[in-house]
Amino acid sequence: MVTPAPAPAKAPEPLLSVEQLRVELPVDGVLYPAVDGVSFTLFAGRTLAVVGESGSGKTQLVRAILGLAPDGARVGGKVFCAGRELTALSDGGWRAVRGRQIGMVFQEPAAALDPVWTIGAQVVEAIRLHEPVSRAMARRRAVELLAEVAFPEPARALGEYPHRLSGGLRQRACLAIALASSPKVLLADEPTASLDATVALQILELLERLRRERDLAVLLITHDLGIVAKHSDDVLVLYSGRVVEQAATAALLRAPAHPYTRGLLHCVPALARQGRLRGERYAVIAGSLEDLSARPRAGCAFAPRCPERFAPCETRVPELYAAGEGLSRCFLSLPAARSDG
Amino acid sequence: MTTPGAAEPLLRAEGLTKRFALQRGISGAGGEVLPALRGVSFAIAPGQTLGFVGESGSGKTTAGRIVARLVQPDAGRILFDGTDWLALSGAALRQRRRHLQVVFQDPQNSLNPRMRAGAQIAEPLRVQGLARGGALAERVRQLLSDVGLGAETATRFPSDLSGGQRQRVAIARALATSPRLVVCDEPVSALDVSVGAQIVNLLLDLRERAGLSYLFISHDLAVVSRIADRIAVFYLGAIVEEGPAQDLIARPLHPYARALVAAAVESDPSAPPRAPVLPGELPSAVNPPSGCHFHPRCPIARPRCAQEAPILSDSGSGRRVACFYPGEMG
Repeated sequence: MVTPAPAPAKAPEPLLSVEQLRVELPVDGVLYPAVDGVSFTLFAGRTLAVVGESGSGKTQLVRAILGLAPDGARVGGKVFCAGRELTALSDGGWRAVRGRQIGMVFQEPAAALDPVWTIGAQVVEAIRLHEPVSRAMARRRAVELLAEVAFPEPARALGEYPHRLSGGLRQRACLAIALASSPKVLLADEPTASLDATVALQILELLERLRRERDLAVLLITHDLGIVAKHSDDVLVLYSGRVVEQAATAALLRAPAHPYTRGLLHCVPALARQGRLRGERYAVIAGSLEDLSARPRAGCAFAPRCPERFAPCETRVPELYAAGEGLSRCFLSLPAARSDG
Repeated sequence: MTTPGAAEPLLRAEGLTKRFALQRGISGAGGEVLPALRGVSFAIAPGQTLGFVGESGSGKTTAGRIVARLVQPDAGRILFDGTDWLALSGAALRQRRRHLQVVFQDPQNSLNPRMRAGAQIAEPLRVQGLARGGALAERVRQLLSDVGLGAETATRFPSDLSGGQRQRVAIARALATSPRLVVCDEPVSALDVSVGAQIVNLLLDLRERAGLSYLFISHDLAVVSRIADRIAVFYLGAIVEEGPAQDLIARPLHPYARALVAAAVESDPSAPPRAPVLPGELPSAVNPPSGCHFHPRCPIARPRCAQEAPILSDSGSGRRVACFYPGEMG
C-alpha cells in the first residue's frame, strides 16, 4: 500500500499485502498493541527487510501474517496473499495457505525440525502434503531440493537425523522444506541469528540465490543492519509496534530520516579498522524500550529516548511523512517542524 | 616465572588443555571425548584487554571459564597476580577471588531472581568481609552510580529491570571487590544492539577509571575490536592467531582470522558486500580433520596442511600464528 516501489523495467508483481495490521496482546487482562497499524507489500523477486530490536513487534507481526497470533491476542487489519484475504480464513484455510503459498524459515532450525524423523522423511512429507505424488517421486524431488539448497551429498542426507547435522546444514534442510510446495513468498525470521559468522554468510548468499532463481518475494526479519544493508531491497524500521521509517535500503542507509534509525546505525558494532574506532565510545541511544504495558500511549513511542524530541512529540503520534525517497514517522520530516521546535 | 625484557603480565596461562566426556545418548552413540582445548597459552598485561574471538565450539568460553576457576583444566598452569592460580583452593581461593571476577552473557541467569539488586552487589563485599553496615550501603550506592544506575535500583528485583539494567547490576557486582581482572563472557550478546553499545561504552569507561584488565570473550569480532588491545582467534580448541588488535585486523595472517575479519566487515552496513569467503562449517572436535584442523575449509591449503599440524609460533612484531603459509592469499 504505502511501500515505495523503486520502479524496475517491469512492474513487480505484488504477492503479499499487509494492511493496517494490529496485534493487541493481553498483559494482566488489559490489551496493549504489540503491532500497531503496520502496512506493506511484498513483490516478486524482491526482499523487504523488517528491522527492529526486542519489543519492536517484529515477531508478533510474522505470527499474525501466518495466522499464528497467540491465544488471547486481538488481531485487526488485513493480510492478502495471491488475491485472497487471509484474515478472513478459517484456521484450516489458513493452514492450507501457510506452507503452500508462504514458506517459512526461523531462527532455530533445530527447533523447526522434528528430531525423530530423518531429513528425507521431513522433506518428503512436506512435498506430499502439498501434492499427491508417489513416495518414490517425492524422494527424487527431495534430493533435487536438497541439491538446490546446496546440501553436500543430497542423496545421503535423506537418511540423516537433524542432530547429526551442523546448524548451517539444518537451516539448509529447513529451506528445502519451506520450498517443497514451491511457494511464491518466503518469510525468513532471523534465519542466521543462531549461526556462526562465516556460516551465516553462506545462508544469506543461498537465500539471495533462491530469491533470484525462484523469483520469490522475501520478508526478511532481522535485528542486524549489516544484513539489511547487504541482503534487502527495501526496509521497514519497526519501533514499539509501529513502522517508524520505510525506504529503499540504499536510500535509508545513505540518509536515515528517523532519529531512531540514525541512532541504531551509530550503534552497529563496526569493525575498528586501522585502529580507528578502537577504544572509541558508541554514540548510543539513551535508555531502552519499555515493556509493552509501560510505554507511552500518547505521542511518539520513541520520544522518551529521542535526542531531538520537542513539544508535540509527547502529545501527538506522528504520521508517516514523506522524507527523502521514503517515509518517516517523525514531526521533523514535516517542513515546518524545525521552526516549531 | 618471568619473561626477560617484558613487563610481568597480570595473568599468564600456559598449555591449558581440557577434554569433556560426552554422555552416551539414548541411541547408544557417544561415550566419546571432546577435546575442548588443546594446549592454549596467552598472557594479559596489567590494564590491558585481551579479546577471545571464535565461533561456537572453538574453545574460547572454556578457556575463559578456566581462568575464572569455573572449570578445572586437565593440564596447564595459570600465573595470576603472582600466584599459582590453579593450585589455589578453599579459603585461599575465596580470598583471592576478589581480584578476578566474571560478567556472564545473560544476567537473567547470573543474577539471583529472589534477591534485590543492592543485596546482590553487596554480597561479595560481605562474603569477603570488605565492608559492613553504613560503609557497605554507601559502597553499593557508589557502585550503582559507577555503572550508571540510580540508588533506587538497589531495592529492585532483577525481574523489575530491563536486560541492560540487569547487566549493569551484574557488572557492579563484579566490580564490588575492586578486581584487577574481569572475565567478560559474551557480555553484550544477549542484548539489543542499542543496549549492547551502552554496555560496551560502560566497560570502556570503567577500564579507564579503574585501570582494570578484561578478558573479553565474544563471537563478534567487531565488538572485540572496539575494546581489545590484543586479540586471540580460536578455532577448534586452539588459538590459531594472536597479536595486537590493530595489526591483526589490518592484516590477519591466518586464513581463518582473515575470514572472520571479512565476515565482520560484511556486518558493517557501510562496507560493500562480498561473497562468503569460507565454505563448510566448524568440524566435529571429536573427530577433527588431520593435520591443520582448518585445512578442509582453507582457501590456501596445500598437501602438507592435511598431514602436519602447524604450531602457534612467533611471526614477529608480537604476533603469533599457527599456519605454514601465514599471510598468503587464496
